[in-house]
Amino acid sequence: MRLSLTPMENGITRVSLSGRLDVQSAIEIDDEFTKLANESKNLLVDLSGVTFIASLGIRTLVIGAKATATNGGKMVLLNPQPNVEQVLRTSHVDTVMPITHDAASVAQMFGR
Amino acid sequence: MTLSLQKQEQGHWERAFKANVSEIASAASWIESIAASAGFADTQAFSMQVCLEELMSNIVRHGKERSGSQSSWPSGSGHLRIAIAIDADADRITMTIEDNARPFDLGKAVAKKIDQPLDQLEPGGLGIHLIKSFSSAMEYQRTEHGNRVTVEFKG
Repeated sequence: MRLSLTPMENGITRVSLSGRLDVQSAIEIDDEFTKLANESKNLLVDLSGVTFIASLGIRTLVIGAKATATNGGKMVLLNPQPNVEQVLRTSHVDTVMPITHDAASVAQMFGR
Repeated sequence: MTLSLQKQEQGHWERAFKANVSEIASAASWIESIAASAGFADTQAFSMQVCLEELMSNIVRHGKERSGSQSSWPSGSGHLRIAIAIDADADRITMTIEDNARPFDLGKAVAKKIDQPLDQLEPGGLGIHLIKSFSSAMEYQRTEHGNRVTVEFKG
């Protein structure tokens, strides 16, 4: 699992995850991802490189979304692969953080 | 049965794993190679991966070895173990996961999904809901040594 940051304008932090967000990876990235979310208001999480997600990976995302909400912002999930998106929607993740495939609309989703 | 056992017959595969996090990845790779060689549909292969990950994760993170189980199953070393069997025929694939942990009836466990607003949401605990959602059937049996969960995937 790789985690990389891309600077964006308008106060949005973009983080790209790639690989399997399985139990082992979730444990590995948990601290770094949570720290990043704690320091962010608006966090865009690019999931296009994630090939698998387990419930523990969803837990990591939920903790991040709660942190951004506490900071008065939100977390948005961008471009999950179909299988990963099915796991997210089956768990009703989309009810607590938006999932989008439209990168152009992201700034608007953050109210920018 | 020994830990290194990897048995394969026509439409049947079985292997034993230690109950730790790195072994979940090993089991996932093993299932992936079976799915590729046997030509399972992508949706079936992915559903198997979801259920495998959640079932093994439950055992690794929550399973406690049964007292007095050191003597027998599966390798006699006195540690928590997981044995996985895959059976495939034209209509369905079944994945059976056995452990030597204390009894835990997964069928009776609460299948939690996200149903609260973010500020009230307690993160985690979605695994059982995913297992039930990504399999066509799930059956729990208590065994002499611990637990057996069988999940089924229809084509």
